[in-house]
Amino acid sequence: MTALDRAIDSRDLRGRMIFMLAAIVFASVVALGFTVVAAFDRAVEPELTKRTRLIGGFIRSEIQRALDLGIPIDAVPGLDQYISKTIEKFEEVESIVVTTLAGNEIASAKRPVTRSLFEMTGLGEVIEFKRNAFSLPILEGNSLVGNVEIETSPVFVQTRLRKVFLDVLVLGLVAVLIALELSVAIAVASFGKPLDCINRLLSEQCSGDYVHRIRVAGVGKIRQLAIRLNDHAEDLATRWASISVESRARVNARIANVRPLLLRLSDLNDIRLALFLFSTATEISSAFLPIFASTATRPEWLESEIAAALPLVVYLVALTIITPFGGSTARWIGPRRLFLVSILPTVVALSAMAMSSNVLGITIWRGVIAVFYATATIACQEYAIKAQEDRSPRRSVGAFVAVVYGGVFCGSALGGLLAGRFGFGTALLFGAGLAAVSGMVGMNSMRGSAGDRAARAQAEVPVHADRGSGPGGRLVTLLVGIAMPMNAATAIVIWYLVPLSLSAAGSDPAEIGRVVMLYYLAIVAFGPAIARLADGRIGETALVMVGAFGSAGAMLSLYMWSGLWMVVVLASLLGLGHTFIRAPLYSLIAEFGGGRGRGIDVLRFLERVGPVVGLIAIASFLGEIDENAVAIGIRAVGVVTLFGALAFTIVEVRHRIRDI
Amino acid sequence: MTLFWRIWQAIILVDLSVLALFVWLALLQFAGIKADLVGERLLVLAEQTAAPFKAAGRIGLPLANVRNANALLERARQTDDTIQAIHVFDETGRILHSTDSAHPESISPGALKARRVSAGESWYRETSEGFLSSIDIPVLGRKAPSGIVIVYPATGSNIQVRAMGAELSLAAVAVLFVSSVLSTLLLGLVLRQQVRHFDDTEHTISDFERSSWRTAAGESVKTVANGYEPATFGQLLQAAEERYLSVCKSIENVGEKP
Repeated sequence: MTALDRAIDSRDLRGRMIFMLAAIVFASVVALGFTVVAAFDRAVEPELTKRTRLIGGFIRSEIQRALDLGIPIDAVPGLDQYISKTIEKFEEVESIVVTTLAGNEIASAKRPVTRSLFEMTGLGEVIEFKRNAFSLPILEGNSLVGNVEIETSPVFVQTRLRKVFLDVLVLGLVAVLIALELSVAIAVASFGKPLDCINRLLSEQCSGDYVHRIRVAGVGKIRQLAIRLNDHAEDLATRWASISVESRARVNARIANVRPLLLRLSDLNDIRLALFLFSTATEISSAFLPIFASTATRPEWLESEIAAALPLVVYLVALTIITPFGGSTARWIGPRRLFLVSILPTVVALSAMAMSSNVLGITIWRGVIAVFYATATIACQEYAIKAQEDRSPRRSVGAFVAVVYGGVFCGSALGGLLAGRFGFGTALLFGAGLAAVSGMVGMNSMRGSAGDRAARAQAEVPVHADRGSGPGGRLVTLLVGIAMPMNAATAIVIWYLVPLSLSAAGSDPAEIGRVVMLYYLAIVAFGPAIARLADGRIGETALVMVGAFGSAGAMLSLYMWSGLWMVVVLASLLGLGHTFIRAPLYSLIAEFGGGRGRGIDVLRFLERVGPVVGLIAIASFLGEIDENAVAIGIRAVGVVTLFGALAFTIVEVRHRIRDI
Repeated sequence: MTLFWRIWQAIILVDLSVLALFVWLALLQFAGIKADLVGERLLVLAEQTAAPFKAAGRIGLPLANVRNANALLERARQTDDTIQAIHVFDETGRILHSTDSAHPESISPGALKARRVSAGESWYRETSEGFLSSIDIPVLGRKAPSGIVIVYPATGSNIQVRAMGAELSLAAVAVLFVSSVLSTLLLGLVLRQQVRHFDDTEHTISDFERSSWRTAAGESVKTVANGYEPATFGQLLQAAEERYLSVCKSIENVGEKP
């Protein structure tokens, strides 16, 4: 176990860090939230008083006009209707009651009492918000005949702040993930990696090998020690140069002829922050892309539903085309260079997309983003696998998937929030800035030898020893029955139907972002725990079955829900079901395929073919996106997932029986 | 502890960013709530004040001929002392009646533009002139409607938003202070093992440095026994130093011998 592992890389530590960060961020947000509500309540009180008095004054003058005409107070026609209309216009008014002098109610309009967030959480007992009540007298001649009583709602400010609270809640979740990635990056840069380099150099120097030096990094004494050990190697190189070639043979050590070479160690953590930021940047539009495309200008012959799906389809097609070449390109030009080369076109494409106002522009630039998203992520995956060559690939791929989904989660949440507040263009430009930052981070962190191009001999050796053999039945069922429906469900349900249906129901991009985010939140939150389950006794195939049947069940049980909550529950359950599948999928493919490469290549291809075909079919056949069409679309994907899960189960059961 | 404080700084920076964004979003929302509350109230007032003018308009009477128009407007203005002026204007924007004796010839270009954009709906918005709220008054026989506009000063609202900003910023600083203390405690617990490992490493390096300069000053050398594999980090440092000195000596020796 390296110093890095001991220092920062344990799952328990990550879990504790997330818990601690969440506690700090949410405690801060809740504390400031109280202050905001109390301050707002105090600040708007004078204006609410003015409004209530004005409303009361108008109602009273209307009643008095009737009284002046000789109509008795308890016989004013249409009074109930009038005050009901008035209460509809003013959401802060909770009740308007007209009473006689004796206190008998003549007319009244009341809103249903809503419990505030503070009351629901029990905090209403601690903090009480003001309830304004006014009573205005009604005169007939010189005598008092009744009163108009108006009461304002104490939860008015809280209802107006609901959106801010939800936005801040999302920001809090994003902040927790960013803080975690930053903490890991700091621990790696300040301690873990410098100490690993020192340990490696020390071992070499103990055995008389002085051909390497290390990058001076880290803090305090570790930095000083690096300087000292480098000096040993450099000093010996100088002394070595001063003695004759014949004398050198008598020295029992390997010493550099010129300046010692820089020792470049690679680690999985080198790609973490860069990949996280890059995923966040490129997926900034995932919550609003179909809405952005459907509202953009388009040719008359292009229907709105097809226009909404077009950028997604092109995105998936571009991924499908590029993915098979990604791995070999990364090995050919080197993962580091491939990642860095992908940054500039991504920044340009995101900026150009921000300025596009027609479907064609949005589609083309989304395609460009897809191409470079594929190359950059594959570069990072190749780096991770190469950096962990001596260990189980499951660990590197598991960490890679966790970072990508963490980034996608942040992208969808931040994108929705920014688009809701400032428009689609601003959100995309923010993404472009973030992509540029990820490039700078990657340039600095991916310096290890895993970022270099593969040596010629290595590049020419086929990576997949079993390429000649055909895929087995288990592998085909896993890929076609499980992986393909899973990715189709993500693209069709989460990327296409959810944003469009919510938009049609009146949700703004921020709300859509919050719902889409739930899908990824399940993966981020439960991914590590399910990965542990996969390592345990339950077994990977059982987990895949649970995930596949669970997600099929979630999609097919739509009749139990309706409206926004249906979509919220569906996104969460689908995310959870897919987490059960994603965690063990890679190692099952490796196991069924009999090697590292072939299964992954096929998976990468099938991952995208399913969604492309599904999206085109759904966008073409469903027509106008309403609640009914969404239900049909989701159920269709649910049926496909169910059949896939059944096929996988049958094949696995037969395999077990044969083994027995 | 350097590692601890570095991570602590990153966490506080993220917390600060969240709190700053919260304050900023809350201020945007506050400005919106204030504008809506004032705007909706002024619209109700405008609706009520426009009633006699609408009655005249319905029978095609020119609004300029409405009797006691200025008194009607003045009564509405007195419902809120903060109201700057109430104008009734014709379809071209020319002011016909106003509570302001020194009123301009016509309503501002900003107000005219807002009318065009609203396309017949009642509207309110903040302009350079102040906070404006207006509704249309249709007049029989005229193609375009006339209207009534209430001018409200925006300064008060801006001052309130700034005061709210100051109050929330102060609260955010206080919250940040408390959360800094909390994060010091929690981070100490979470990173206890890692910080101990880091501190042990630093102590080992310090001990090694000390022993190194004392040896240079003549103290007896504590060598790692021959054939013994250095197991700890300290032993590794010692062994590497010994090996370096021995290689130096060896080069010196072969250099001296021709």
